[in-house]
Parts: sequence; structure tokens; C-alpha cells
Amino acid sequence: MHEVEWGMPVVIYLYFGGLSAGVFILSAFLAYLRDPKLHQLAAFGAYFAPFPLFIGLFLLLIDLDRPLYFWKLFVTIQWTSPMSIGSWLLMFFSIIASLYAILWLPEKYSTLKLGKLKLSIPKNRLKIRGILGAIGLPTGVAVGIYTGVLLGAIPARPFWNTPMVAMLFLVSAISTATAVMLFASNWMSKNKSKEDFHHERKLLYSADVILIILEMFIIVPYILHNSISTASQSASLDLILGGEYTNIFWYGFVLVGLVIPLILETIDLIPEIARKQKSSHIKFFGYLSAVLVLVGGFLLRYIFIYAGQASSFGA
Amino acid sequence: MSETKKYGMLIEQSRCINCKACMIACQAENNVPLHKHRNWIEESEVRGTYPNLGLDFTPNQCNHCDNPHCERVCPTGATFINDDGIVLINYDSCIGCRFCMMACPYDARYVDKERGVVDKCTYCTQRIYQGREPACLETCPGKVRTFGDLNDPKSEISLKIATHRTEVKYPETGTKPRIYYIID
Ligand code: SF4
Ligand code: SF4
Repeated sequence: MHEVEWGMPVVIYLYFGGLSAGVFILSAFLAYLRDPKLHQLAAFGAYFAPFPLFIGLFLLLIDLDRPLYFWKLFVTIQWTSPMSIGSWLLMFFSIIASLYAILWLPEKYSTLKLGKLKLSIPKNRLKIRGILGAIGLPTGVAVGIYTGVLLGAIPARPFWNTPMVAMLFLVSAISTATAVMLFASNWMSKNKSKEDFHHERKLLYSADVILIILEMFIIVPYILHNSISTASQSASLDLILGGEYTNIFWYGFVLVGLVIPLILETIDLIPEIARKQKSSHIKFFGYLSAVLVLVGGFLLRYIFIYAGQASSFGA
Repeated sequence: MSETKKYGMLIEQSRCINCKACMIACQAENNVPLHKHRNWIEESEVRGTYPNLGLDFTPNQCNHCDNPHCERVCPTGATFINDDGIVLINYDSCIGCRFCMMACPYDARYVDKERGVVDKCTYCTQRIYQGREPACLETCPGKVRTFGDLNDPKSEISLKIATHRTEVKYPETGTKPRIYYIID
């Protein structure tokens, strides 16, 4: 490709889209557990989930060469186009995530007044919320996968053209969502008992450790697979094995975004694993690993969008 | 001769002298924005050692693929395959998402910022439907290109393809490109 045609707006859109999906997945899952200790976190996730996606969609919209024509996406379904299916999927998901967030509002807000319009939230809100969560959870997974399929389904860009990209993006989306939850859990820890806080942290850390390890075990076969694949595919790997994106991939994404948070989180869990005593959390490390995971997730999208466009059959 | 036409092009690259007249002709004919191109000449590196040297020039453009990935990924259906095999864009439907540019292995597309759409070679439909040649063909001093109906076994292009060894670019991408290059 002569120029970069997909830039920062697309990077942010894919990142925020995955983040929203991930936070929704976690919130719906926590709500499903019906653990009163996790209620606050589930509520936070429900409120948070729609917003990154809305920002991302807005950026994507103004990045079109003809933003006012975006509705053309919604007068057709092109079954062979990941973007067409993705647009419908995102519309569906935004609606579910928004309704879900509204249904989590405390009782006192059960009537929304918009001028003359009066919307009251139905009495059986808990039931509807459960159903929305059950529909939204797989939809969220689909959104997380879609952000990767968008890139993976293109043979013309060897750097992208493997199903592992979709898996990597999905796992990374849930991992960054865990980081958002971790951040929130730290932030809101003041009005929580020590027990509850500990409970949340243990859950989030354990989940994130598993997710980070999964990410690593997607990256390893991604590299192995590409390096022994077709000439163009192995050539595209040069972009992160000595080429332009090498440092940012290994030091930025892998070291800062995966290895360091993995170590921080594991250290915190060691007393738990060894069943010695409850770990004494260091809050600062909680914040730090959350921020690092979020930065890593962003770098992953950035590297893939940019490096992918630099890879081609001609190279 | 079959009912439907399928337009294609044959390029005899050894005749190309890299004068770039085709690029200018195309730009003028199709109002291509400055610094964007629908066709271009790829220069190889110099081969061999002095005094036995070689250098290739390869004209490139949209291949009007039989299985165009640009069309497959277009979310609005703006890019379509015409009855005669030419891959065209419905400019009213294009939203400028540029997904097609990611999907084309030949980097044959460009953004027309002024109109807010993505564009590419059309085989000069405005000319060929009036029985004229595409502009790049007409202007080429080396007569590098042959244009015509691949479905008609008696057309000049079909005869040349039948009697020469030809190849297409990056067939491994699965786009089934329809621009043939003569190997020599
Ligand atoms: S060469 Fe590229 S733009 Fe032209 S039809 Fe094939 S995939 Fe589409
Ligand atoms: S830029 Fe236009 S032609 Fe290309 S995929 Fe998007 S809508 Fe289709």
C-alpha cells in the first residue's frame, strides 16, 4: 500500500469496540453469578460498556470519506463483507448495551422524563435485565471476534490473514475489559469492606492472568505459523521481527502490555496459590497493571492496523 | 462465441519503454486527481553484471478480477461486477470506508478526496461502449496492451493468449485476475 488508508480513528474504533464488548461480557457474567459482593462491579460494567463503543463509532463515522452516506450500510446486508455484518452486529449490540445500562439504574431513576415524554422502566426489570445479559453476552463475544475478523478475512494483507488475529483480539478485548474493572474496583474500594475488595481483586487478577497467558499462547503460534507459511506471509513477519514495528511489538505490547502486568498480578496471587494467607494487596500495583494492560491492548491494535497495511504480496 | 462478453487485457511487458504516456492519458481521460493513478509502471532492479544487464518495466492496474476481493468486502455493495466482467463502482453507494483498498492485493484503488469515494480503472467504459479503445491503449507507442473479449475465441486477445505463454499476477491470492502478461 502506498499510503496508510486506515489510521488512528480505526485503531481507536477497534480498541474501544473490543473494550465495550469485553466490559459487557464481564458485567453480564458477574450479574449472572448473583454474588452480592460482585454486584457493584457488575453495575459499573453495565454503565461503562456502551460509552467506548459510541466514541469509537463516532470516530469511525467521521473517518469515512462521505460520513453523511453512512446509512448506506443499513439498507443492505452483504453476507461476504465482514464490515457489513459487523455494522449490523454493532448496531444490535449498541442497542442491547444501552438498554442494559438503563435497566441497571437504581430504582429512584425508574422514570425517565424527556420533555413531555415519560418512560418508566418496567417492574420486572431484573428479569429483562437477565435476558438482555444472556443475549448480549454472545453478541459481545461476536463483536470482540468481529474486530479481528475485519482484518483477518483479507488475503491481500498477509500480516492479517490468519484466524488467530480474531482470537487474539477477542482475548485481548476481555483482558483490557478486566483491566477497566480492576481500575474501577480499586477506585471504589473505599466504600467496600476489605473482604469484598479482596474477593473482587482475586477474581479479576485470576481472570486476567489466564487471559494474558492465553494471549501469549496465541502470539507464539501466530509467529510460528506465519514464519513457515507462504513467502509473503513469512515476509510480513519481518515487520515485527527486525522491521519497523519490532520495538513497539516486543517492548511495547509484549513486555509492557503482557509480561509486566502478568508478573505484577501473579505476585499478588502467590499467597493465594500457595494457600498461605490472604495477600496484602498493594493498590498501586493494581492501578499499574490495569493501566499497562490497557496500554498493551491499544498498542496491539495500533501495530496490527499499521503493520498490516505495510504488508502485501508485492513486498 | 458466448452470449456474454468478458473483457480482459493482455500486456506484453517486454515492449514497454517506461515512457508513462498511458499514465498521463488515463489521468486526462478519467479526471484522476493529481498524484493518484489508475495505472502505473513498476520498475525492476537491474539484473546481471556490466555489460550484460537487464531491466523490466511492468504496467500495472486493476485486474478486473473474476473473484474480486474488493467487491466481496464492500459493505454497501457499491463495488460490483458488471455483466461484461468489468469491476465497477456505483459512486452513489460508496461511503469511502476504504475496506476495498485493504482487500485489493494489487493496490489498484485510490481515494478521490474531492468526491469522497474510492475509484480505480474502469477500462474506460465511457469509450469502449462507443466502440473506442481504452485511453491507455490508444496512446501507447509500444503497443504493449491488447484489449478485448475473452469469451470470444476469435478476438485478437483470445488468439494471442492461445498462442503465447502467459501468466497473471499473484494468482495465489485467489482473486482470479484477468490481466494476462506474456512471459518471454
Ligand atoms: S485488481 Fe483489485 S480493485 Fe481490481 S478487481 Fe481485482 S481486487 Fe478489485
Ligand atoms: S470505499 Fe466504497 S467501494 Fe470501497 S468498500 Fe467502502 S463503500 Fe465499497
